[in-house]
Amino acid sequence: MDMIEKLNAEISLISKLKSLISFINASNTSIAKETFYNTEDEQMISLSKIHSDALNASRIFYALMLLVESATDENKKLIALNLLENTKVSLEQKKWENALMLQAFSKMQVNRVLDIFNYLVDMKVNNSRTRNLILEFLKRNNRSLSLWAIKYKRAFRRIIRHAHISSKLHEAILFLSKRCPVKDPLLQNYYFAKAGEKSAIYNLPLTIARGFAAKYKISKEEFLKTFAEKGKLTQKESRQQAQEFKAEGIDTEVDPTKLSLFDLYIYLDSLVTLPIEAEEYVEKAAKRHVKNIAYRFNDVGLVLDTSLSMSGTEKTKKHPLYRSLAFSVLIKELSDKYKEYRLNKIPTFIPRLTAETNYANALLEALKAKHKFIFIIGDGYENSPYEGIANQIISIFKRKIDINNEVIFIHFNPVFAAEAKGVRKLFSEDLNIKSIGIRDEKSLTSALFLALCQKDELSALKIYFKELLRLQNEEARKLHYLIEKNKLELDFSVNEE
Amino acid sequence: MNKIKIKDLLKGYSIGKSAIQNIANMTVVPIISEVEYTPIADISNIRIKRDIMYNEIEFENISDNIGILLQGYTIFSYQKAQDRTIPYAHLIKSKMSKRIPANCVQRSQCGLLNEKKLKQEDFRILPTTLRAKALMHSTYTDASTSALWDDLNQFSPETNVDEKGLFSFYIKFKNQLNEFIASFEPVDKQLGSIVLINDRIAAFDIVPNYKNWLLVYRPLIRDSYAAEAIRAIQNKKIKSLISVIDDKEVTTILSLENAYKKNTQDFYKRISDIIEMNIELEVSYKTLDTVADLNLVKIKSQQYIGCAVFHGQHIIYLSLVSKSLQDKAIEDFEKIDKYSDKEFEI
Repeated sequence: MDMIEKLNAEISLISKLKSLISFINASNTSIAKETFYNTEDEQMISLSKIHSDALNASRIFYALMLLVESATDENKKLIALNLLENTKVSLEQKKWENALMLQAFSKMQVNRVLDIFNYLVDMKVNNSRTRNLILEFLKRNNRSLSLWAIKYKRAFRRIIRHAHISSKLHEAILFLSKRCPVKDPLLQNYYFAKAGEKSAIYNLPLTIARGFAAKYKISKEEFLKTFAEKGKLTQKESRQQAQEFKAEGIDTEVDPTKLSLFDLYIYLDSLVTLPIEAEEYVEKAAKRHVKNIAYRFNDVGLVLDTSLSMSGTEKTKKHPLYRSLAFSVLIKELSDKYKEYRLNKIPTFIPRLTAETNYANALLEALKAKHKFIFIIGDGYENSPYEGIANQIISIFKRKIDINNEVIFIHFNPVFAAEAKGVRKLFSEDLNIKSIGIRDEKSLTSALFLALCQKDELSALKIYFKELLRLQNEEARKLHYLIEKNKLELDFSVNEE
Repeated sequence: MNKIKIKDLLKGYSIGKSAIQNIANMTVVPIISEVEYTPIADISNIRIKRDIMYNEIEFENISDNIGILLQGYTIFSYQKAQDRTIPYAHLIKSKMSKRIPANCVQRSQCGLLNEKKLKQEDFRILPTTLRAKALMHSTYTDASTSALWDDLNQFSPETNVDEKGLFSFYIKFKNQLNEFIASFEPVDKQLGSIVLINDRIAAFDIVPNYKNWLLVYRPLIRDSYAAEAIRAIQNKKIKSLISVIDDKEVTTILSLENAYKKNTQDFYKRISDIIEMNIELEVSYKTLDTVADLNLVKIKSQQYIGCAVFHGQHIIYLSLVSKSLQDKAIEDFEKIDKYSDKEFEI
């Protein structure tokens, strides 16, 4: 290899590395929805570019990201679409990718999966690979097809027509083809409700029951009361509806011990009075989650952004704050010694968000306490007393006080920013302090991995790749073995050398 | 013409010093007050009812209270219709409509607005220097369609705003504008702000209550102030009030903290000095309209121009902007000690 080839290879490697790291970062935070600052369209364009770069850098790595628990459904949806749209790969690889998709779909919200299939219908993607994927997915979810047939009626009907799904698969297909009658109890209840039998409404899922209640002009109070008695709510529905039910004086059965940390914070913040067990619930949820995490820290100071911009949007009210709180308690659980420094110093259980973003004061407090690790969780939009002063402080600290670089700083950011094509950075490149996207407790491992990138990006990426391979289920692992055996070098192997 | 010092206009308000926010060449100093004026329409309740002609738009106030149409209110229609701005603030009675003079900010486009297809909640407010020009080139009762065309050309020659329309500036600098708005946050009890661009005061703005402040926050911070700050950056006329922390004496964390404190104190002092100097200026004002117990006035001085609404002697609305374009800023001359500061005597 001559010098120019070597240089080109190095440049290509660096570019691939950057693409993949940026992709991992975005996949943990971006939901392609409007944020406090960016519109939905801006977010989507930016996210599509990140995906296309990652796909070009390493298709295998890209496909494996479907399995990462912390990647948002929106990102998984984009990965699946890109894999199905870009077909120039071997048959073995296609089968392996389908297996990965099925594995990922099994953990995704079903409406997201149906969205993907519907997009394929829109794009007129109707090859045998796609039809098989849809059929296989439906077969594996045979028990839920009745529910989907009434809950996502129109979308589901389009999909089964598109993939030529036979009515032998399930009665729901008959139902959607309007060839009644059917024997399935849920579908029957739907028919009865539609025919005007009000008592049947309460045997339907909440969202559908609401529609019928509005149609039959049942008062909100009566509907919620009867539904609480006769109907059945999922844990998530219970949490989401708790406030509304409470406003009508109806208690719903939310079991806080079964909620994820993120959902738990949303639930607790929705209550008029905080239960005395709130801290205990949070602590237990955190302990449950950190059991399988290998990382541990000996002494952490955590600077928590409690400025107003952490309030999110109307649709995602306070989500950046809840994410940060969930992450903060997990770090606490992983640390021998831990102290939190809030920007506004208001010590309420759920912080009150106020005005300006002054990281400098809180950072100085943390520096004075001589922590080994200083984590900053915030959206990175510093404005007080002026933008960039936190950077100056850390720069002077590193140059004149911590000359041996003993203190490790990491910035975790719960907000995806379109203009930053990822998350907004808080520190300049020369300080070598990463800004890492976080979403909820599931993103902790990925976030900590990205933190490791500060020391050595290539090694960190290799470890991460091995972790991804480990996440495959038996079916995917066998197919992946076939790819390796026949081909085969991974397209990522360039990086592995 | 009555005369008053700016500091007297601002009586009853205070500055939220600890919540001063700065990014690049723009500083927002919050104006806060414990007392709000609430019997007033939300800004969102003042809506375009009908586009009558190029220099006149009919607005309606759909609320039960008197409404204030903001000075520099601007609408981009994205229709085959001329984008327009309102040069003066106006008072509109409850449940009433009013025909209001307008200027054009899109020279190359003809056509009247279809109000039914307008996203009226997406209104903007003119950049501060254009707000001043709009007041200077129109009267309260009469405005010419073309009054702002020459100023638009000067505002951003490289964007060709003159021909393409003002909205082309917002499209071109969309990302930068979003970054600016991202960096500022409203403060508790905030009813207004003093905005410094480079090292000069660009505007004093006040609205009657916090709810209205939140409604006007994005149009003011992003479309008015940040647009002006970006224009200054484009013209390479950047002066910042911030300075690098002096780290000569820093050897410990305590000395680092002291250096930081000194730096921020100096920063606040520079801002205070500029504000103190400017609020001592005297402005003249005359009444334009009176509705119930509210008086709308025009304010003028050599440096500033604007509109205000008085409730009794107290200001509940203020749009006071610097007259000078950034690239024609008034020079500061050096003070030479040997000359006396004694006032001119006859």
